[in-house]
Amino acid sequence: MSEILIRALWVLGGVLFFLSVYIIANKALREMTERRVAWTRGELEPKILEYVNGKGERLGAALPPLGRADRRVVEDVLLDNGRFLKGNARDRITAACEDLGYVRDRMRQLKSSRWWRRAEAAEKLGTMKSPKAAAELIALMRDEMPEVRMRAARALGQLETRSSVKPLIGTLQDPNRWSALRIADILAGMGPEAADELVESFATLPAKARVAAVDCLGRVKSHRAAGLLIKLLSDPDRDIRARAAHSLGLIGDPNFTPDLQRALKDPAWPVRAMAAKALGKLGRPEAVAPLFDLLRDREWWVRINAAEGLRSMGDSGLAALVNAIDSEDRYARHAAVATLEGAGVLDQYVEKLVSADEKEREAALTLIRKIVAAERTDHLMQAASRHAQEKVREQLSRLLTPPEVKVQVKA
Amino acid sequence: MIFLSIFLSVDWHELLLKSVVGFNRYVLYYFLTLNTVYLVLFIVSLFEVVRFVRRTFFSDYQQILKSEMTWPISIIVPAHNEERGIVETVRSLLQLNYGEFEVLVVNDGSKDNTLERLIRAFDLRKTDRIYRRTLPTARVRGIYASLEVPNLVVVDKEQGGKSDALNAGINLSRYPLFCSVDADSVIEENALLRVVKPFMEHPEEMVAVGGIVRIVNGCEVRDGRVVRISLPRKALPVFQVVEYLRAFLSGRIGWSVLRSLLIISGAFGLYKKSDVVAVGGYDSYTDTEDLELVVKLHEHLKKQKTKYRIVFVPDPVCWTEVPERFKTLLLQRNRWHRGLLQSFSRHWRMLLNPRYGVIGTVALPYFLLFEVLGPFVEVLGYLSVILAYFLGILNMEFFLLFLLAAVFYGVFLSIAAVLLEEISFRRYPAWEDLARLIWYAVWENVGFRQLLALFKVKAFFDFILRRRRWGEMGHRGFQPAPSTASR
Amino acid sequence: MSHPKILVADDDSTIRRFIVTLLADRGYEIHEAVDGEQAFKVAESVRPDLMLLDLIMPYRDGFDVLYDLKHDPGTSEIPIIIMSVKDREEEIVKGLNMGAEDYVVKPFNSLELVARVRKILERENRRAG
Repeated sequence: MSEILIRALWVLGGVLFFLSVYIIANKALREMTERRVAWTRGELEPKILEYVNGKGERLGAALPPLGRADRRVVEDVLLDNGRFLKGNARDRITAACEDLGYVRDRMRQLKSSRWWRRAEAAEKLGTMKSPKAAAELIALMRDEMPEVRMRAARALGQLETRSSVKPLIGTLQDPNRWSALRIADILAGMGPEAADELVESFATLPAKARVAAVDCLGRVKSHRAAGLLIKLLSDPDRDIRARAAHSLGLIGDPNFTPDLQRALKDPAWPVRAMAAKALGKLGRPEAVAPLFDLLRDREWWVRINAAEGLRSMGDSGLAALVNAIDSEDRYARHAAVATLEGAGVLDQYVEKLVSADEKEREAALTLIRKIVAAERTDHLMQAASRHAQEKVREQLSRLLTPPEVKVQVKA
Repeated sequence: MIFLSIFLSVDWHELLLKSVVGFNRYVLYYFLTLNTVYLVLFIVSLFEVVRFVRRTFFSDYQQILKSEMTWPISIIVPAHNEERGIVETVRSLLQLNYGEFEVLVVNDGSKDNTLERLIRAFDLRKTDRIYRRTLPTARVRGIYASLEVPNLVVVDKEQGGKSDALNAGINLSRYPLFCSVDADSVIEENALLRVVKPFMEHPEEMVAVGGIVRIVNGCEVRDGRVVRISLPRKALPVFQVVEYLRAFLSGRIGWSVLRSLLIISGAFGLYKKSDVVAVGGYDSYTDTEDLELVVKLHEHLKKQKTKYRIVFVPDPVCWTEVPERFKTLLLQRNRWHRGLLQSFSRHWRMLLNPRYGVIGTVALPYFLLFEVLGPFVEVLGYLSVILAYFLGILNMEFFLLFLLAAVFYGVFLSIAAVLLEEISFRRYPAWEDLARLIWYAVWENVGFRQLLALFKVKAFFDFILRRRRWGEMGHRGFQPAPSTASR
Repeated sequence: MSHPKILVADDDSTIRRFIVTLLADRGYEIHEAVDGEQAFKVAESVRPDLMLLDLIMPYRDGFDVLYDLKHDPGTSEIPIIIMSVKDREEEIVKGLNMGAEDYVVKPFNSLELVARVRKILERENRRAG
C-alpha cells in the first residue's frame, strides 16, 4: 500500500514539476519568437512600405530570400497595412500577395480539415482582396461551421465584385440571426450594386431574408429601391412594413411623405412608430398635423417617435409641440415637454422672458404657464434658482411657486 | 438507570478511535471527490477557453461596434458615498468603446458630496424624464441630465440599499439591455463589445452574460484605464488573484458550458431587462443580490420552460479591488457566504428537482455538498487528523494520502489555472509575476483555502443566528472600500 | 517653410509607421503621438504646420481633443485633418463643424491623403508669406 502511495506521490510531484516547467518554457519560447518577429519586421517593413507607396514593380525583387517564418512576417505587414488603405496602395498590396504566393497558400488552406484554419484563411483572403479567391470563397459559404461561413461572406464583401453579391444575398436566410445581420451589414457596405441585386431578387427571397434585405436597402440609401419599399408598406408582414418605413426615412426623399402619412394609420404600432420617425427625417410641413395627432397614440414608442419627428421639423413642428403641452391627453403633454426640454427649446423660451420684444415675452409667458399647468416643472424650478440673470429668476419664481411653498434646490 | 448502565458499558475510548478513523476516511473521500469535480470543471473550461480564443477575431468586435443592429445598453452604476472616485468612474464609462449606450448613476442617498461632484463635473440640470415605476423603490428625489453629455443620467433617490438603487436604475433605463457596474470597478474599453457578443449571436435566448473579473490591486490605473498590469505586493491579495483565476477561468467557465452558471459578479454583468423585470428585479433580503438574481432567473425561466441561456465570457472585462487586510476579507467572505445560504434557503425547492434541469440536479447539489456543508467537513477534517495524531492512531500512509487528496491535488489545480491563464489571456507579462503566481498557487492550498473554510463555518453560524455586522446595516450591499487605493 | 512639420496622432502603430514612410519621403518632418493627451502636449510644444488626428484613441475622446486644440490659443491655428473609421454622417459633420480642415475616412487612399496634405500646407504657406 505504501509503495503505491509513494509512487503516486512521485507521479503527482512529477506532474506538478512538469506543469511548471511547461508554463515557463511556453512563455520563454513565446517571448523569444516575439522578439525575433519584431526584429525581422523592423528590418523588412521599411522596404515593404516603400513598395506599397509606389517604389518598384515587384515586392519580391526588393526583398531578400525569405524563410518560412519571415514570409509570415511579410504577409502580416502587408495585411496590417491593407486594412486601412484603399486605392492604388491597396492594389499594390494585392499584387504583392499574389506575386509572393500568399493568395495561393491561403487558398490551399481553405480546404483544411480544421475549421479555424479555414476561417483564418478566408479572413486573410478578404483583406488581400484578390479576385482569384472569389469562386472558392463562394463555395465556402456552404461550409458546415457558421464561423467559417461568416468569414467567407465577409471576405466576399471585401472583394467587392458583382459576382459576390448574389451568393451573399442567398445566405441572408442563415438560421443564425447574428449571421444574417452580419451579412446584411456586409451587403450594406457594398453600395448601390448590392441594392440593385436585392431589388431584383427580392421576390425570390424567403421570408426571413426579406426583413434583412429591407434594412440593407435603407442603409445603402439607394433611391432605386424606393419603388419596392413603397410597395412593401402594404406587405402583409408587419415587420416588413415597419422596416420599409424606416428605410424610406433613411433614404430621405421628401416625396415619400404621402405614402408614409398613410402608414401612420397602420394597425401595428411598430409600423406607426417607424413611419413617424421617417416623416420626421423628411421634414415636410404637411406631416405636422398627423404627427401631432399621433402624440395621443396608445403606444409610448409611437408617441416618442412622433414627438421626435416634430422636433426635427423646424418651427412648425416645434409650434405643434408647444400646442401639445395643454392637450387633454396626459402622455401627449409629457412627450411634448420632454422633447422640448431635450431640444433646449425650453431654455430658449426662458431667455425670452426678459426680451425687449413684447411678442416674444408673451409667447414665453404663455409657454411657461402651460408647463406649470401641466405640472412638469422640475427643469423650470432649477432654472428659477440657477439662471444667470436675476430678472429671469424673479419672473420664473413668481410663475412657478404659489406663495407658501419654498423651492429648495442645492446651489 | 438503564441509560446509566448503557452509558457505562460503552467503551468510549474505542468508540472515539473508531469514529475518528471512520471520519478521517470520509474526509479523504470528500477531498478526492471535491478536487475531482474541480478537475472536471477545469478540463471543460480548458476546452472552452481554447475554443473561445480560436473563435474570436478582433474584427468581430469592430463589426459589432459599427453595426446599427447592435443592441443599445443602459449602464447602471449604484453609488453610495462614492465622492472620491465617482466622477472619474463616470468619465471612463462614457469613454467605453460602444455604439449607443447610456450611463445611469443612481445616487442612493449618499451622505457625502457624491451628487454635488457629479452636478459640477458634468453641468447637470434637473429634468422631467418620465419613467414607469415597474419595480418598487425608495422615493426618487430628482433626475438630472447634462446637455453636453446626452447619454448621462443621474438619479437622486433616498437611501434604499444597492438592490433598491439598481431597481431604480432599471426603471429609468431606456434600452432593452442593462449592465450593472460597481462604482469602484474599472471597466475595460472593449468590455461592452465582448459581453454583448453572445446577445448578438443568440438574441432570443440569451438572458444574462457575465465576464471575468480581474484584480486591480497592484495595477496602475490612470484616467479610469488600467495602464500597467502587475501583481500586488502584499501576500493576501496575491492569494486572491490565484483564487480568482481558479474560480473564474477554470471554474465558472466550466459551469457556463454546462449551462448551470449560478453566479454573475455584481461588479459587471449584462442582462436582458425584460427578464429581470419579470422576476421582480433585485431583492434586498439577501446580501448578495447578484447571486440571488441569477438563481431567480434560472428558476423562473426553467419553470416557464422557455429556452434560455446564461453564459460567461472568458474575456476579461472588469477590474475590481479586493481586500488587502485580513479583517476586510473576513467581512467580505462572510457576506458572500451568508448570501449564498440565503439564496439557498429561498430556492431550496429547486434542489434535486429534475424540473430545473442541470441546475437542480447538478449545480445546486454541488453547492450544497461542497459549499454549504463542505467547509464543515474540511474544518472538522483537519481537526480530526490532528486529533488522530495526538491519539496516536495516525497512520503515516493515511496521512500522506490525506495530504495528497487535500493539498497536493489542490496545488495541481491551482497551477493548472495559472497555466490556463498563460495560454489564453496572458495578462501578467512579467516573469517575476509568473514565478510569484506559481509560488502562491502552491501556498494557496496550504493555509488560504483552509482559512476561507473557517470563514465559511463562521458565516454559517452567523446566518443561523441571523447576526449581522454593524457596519453593513447602514448601506447594505455597498462594500466599504478596501484600505489601500491603488489609483 | 523648409521642412513642414506634421504631427500624426493615432494609437495604431502600424498606421503611424505607414504615414511616416508616406510623408517623410516627401520632405516632411513627422512627429508622433499615441494618445489624446500626448497629442495635445506635442501639438503645444512642437507647433506643427499640420495635424493628422485619429478619433478613437485611449484616455480621451477624439472630439474632446479636437475641441481643446481649437480652443487653446497656442494650437487653435493648426490645421487638422481628421482620420477615422467613424464614417457616419453626424460624425463627419460634427468634426468639420468643430473646426477640422478635412475628414478622411479609413480605409483611405494614400495618394489622396498626400494631395490633401500638400494643398493645405501650400495654402498656409501662401498665407504666411
